[in-house]
Amino acid sequence: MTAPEDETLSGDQAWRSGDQAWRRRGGRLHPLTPIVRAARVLVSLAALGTYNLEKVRHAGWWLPVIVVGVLLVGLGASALSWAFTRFAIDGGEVHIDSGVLFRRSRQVRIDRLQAIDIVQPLLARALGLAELKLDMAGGSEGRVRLGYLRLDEAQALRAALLAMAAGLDHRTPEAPQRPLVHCSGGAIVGSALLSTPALIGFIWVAAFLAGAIASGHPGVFTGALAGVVSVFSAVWQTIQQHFGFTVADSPDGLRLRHGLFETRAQTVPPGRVQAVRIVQPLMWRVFGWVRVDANIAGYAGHRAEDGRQHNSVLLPVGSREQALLVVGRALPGVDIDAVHMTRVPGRAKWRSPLLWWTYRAGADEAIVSIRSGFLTKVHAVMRHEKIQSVRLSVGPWQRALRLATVHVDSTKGPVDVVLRHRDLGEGRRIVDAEVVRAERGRALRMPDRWMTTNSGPATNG
Amino acid sequence: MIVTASQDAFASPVESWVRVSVKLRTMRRALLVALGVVVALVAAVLSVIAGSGLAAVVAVVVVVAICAGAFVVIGRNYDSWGYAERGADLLVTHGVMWRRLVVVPYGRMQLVDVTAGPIERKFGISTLRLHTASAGTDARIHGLTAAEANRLRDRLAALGESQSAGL
Repeated sequence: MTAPEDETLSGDQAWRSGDQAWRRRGGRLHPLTPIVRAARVLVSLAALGTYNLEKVRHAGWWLPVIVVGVLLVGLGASALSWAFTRFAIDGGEVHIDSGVLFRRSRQVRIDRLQAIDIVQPLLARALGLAELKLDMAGGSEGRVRLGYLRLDEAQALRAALLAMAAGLDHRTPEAPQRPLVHCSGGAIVGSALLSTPALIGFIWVAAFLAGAIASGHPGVFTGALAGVVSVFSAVWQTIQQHFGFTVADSPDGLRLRHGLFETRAQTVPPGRVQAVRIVQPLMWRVFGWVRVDANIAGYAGHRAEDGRQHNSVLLPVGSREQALLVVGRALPGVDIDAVHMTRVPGRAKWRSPLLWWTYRAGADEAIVSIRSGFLTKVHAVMRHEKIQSVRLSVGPWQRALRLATVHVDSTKGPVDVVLRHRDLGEGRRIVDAEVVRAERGRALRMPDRWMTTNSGPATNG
Repeated sequence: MIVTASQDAFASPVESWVRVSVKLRTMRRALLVALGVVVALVAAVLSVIAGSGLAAVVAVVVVVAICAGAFVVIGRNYDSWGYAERGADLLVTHGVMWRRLVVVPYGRMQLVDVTAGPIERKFGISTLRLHTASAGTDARIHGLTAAEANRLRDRLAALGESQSAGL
């Protein structure tokens, strides 16, 4: 039924066309890779130029020479790096050798994959190329980029890697997918404009506009613009990152596709979602919108590498029913609304006068669940077996009121499961109960190769 | 009554907490006294140079009072440290004003660090830190004797290996 771990994929096996292409190239990336990479230099040069428009306008003949020179150097370096890079899939591992002066050889265990993304920047999309990003647990070193490949190669490779990660034969055809949710463009734009930072931006603009009119000095208004630009560029980033967001379900896990210029197709295998939260910012209530975020090991902490926050959003905007649908797939067999939630003792109002009445928490056999927030509502849940550690903390003011806060630690990410201001004795009982449930959960947990259980669907290898 | 409730919530799940080495208290108090002496001397000398003997006396009295307070605080903080090894997890507690209890399952440990700075080495103690895949896990034990730190590290590494769970 399953492929043995030490199996080597040799060239004579029946690979689909996409798989064979990189083999025919001798394990190389696509020859157009250097051009796509060098195009990034052009983009940063253009950005530099727009910031120094005055200097560019008064520049002499040397400017084009420098630009062309920088481009050629970038192209040459990318070409060299391409020529020295080889990859292969072998014995349950991806091998990548790279580096011109300093050689680097990496082995990636396929059964430890946390998620696979296919990323297409604008130029790559025009050329029909894509980059494969493999997320492993463990910081920025745990992220492997394989790019660029032809789009069909990248997809075939992803299917093969996911099949192997599931414990199936690599020739298993790509799992069929079933669309769950599609976010309309209007909802994406509307939700970004109604998000809290954007609202603060609007109020900021309105306040300075009023100030400018009242004082009769237009300078007051233009002075405020600089701050606003950064807020709205963040809003624009969100829109262009999430545009056309679709969530689909497949035996490989959740498939997310999104992006306006740079498109990204993410696959999060089953059991890799550590914790989930449903968030509702203040103004989204008008439309009944919510967002679903998740902690996924390997997704956090990569900000430095490609300069932007990693997408840990499972659904950028949708109705609560859609959110529950996505959460239900991210945490199979869990009904997050069935958990009996209890409030905190009334004396917590002396510690947290504004929010004490919003804190609710509960647990059942599978998950621990919290709700909190008044302006922005948050509902966070986590499976017991995903708990990394449990903490009880009591500050001086809490101790006087006999209250305690319980932190249920998950991996890095946007979701924090914190049970604030519980009764002191209850807090300790929660800690002890969580530890026991987590231990029991780990004993029964899904194996890393999620198709190798008896409960998994039977498949012929 | 309040005190009992708080003590109950931080009670050890086994017979009692294992206390850390008393050398931790000694080291912290020694550092405090050294710092206090230096500050008192500087303050006194400056006051005398400024021509006020009374100020010098006041400065020294203030420094001594603060140090005496800190001396007691160090003692209470030392008393608050404790850890316990259970079948499947390690518990660590500490803090007087801000009380903390951390439970780390052995299977979740990714890394065990034992560090000892130059002053800690002088006093023959080390600090042990546990890392999990969570950034929130703040499990560290100060003031372990070198032998105990090594024993605990090896035991935790072995248990972590045998009970290891994937993410």
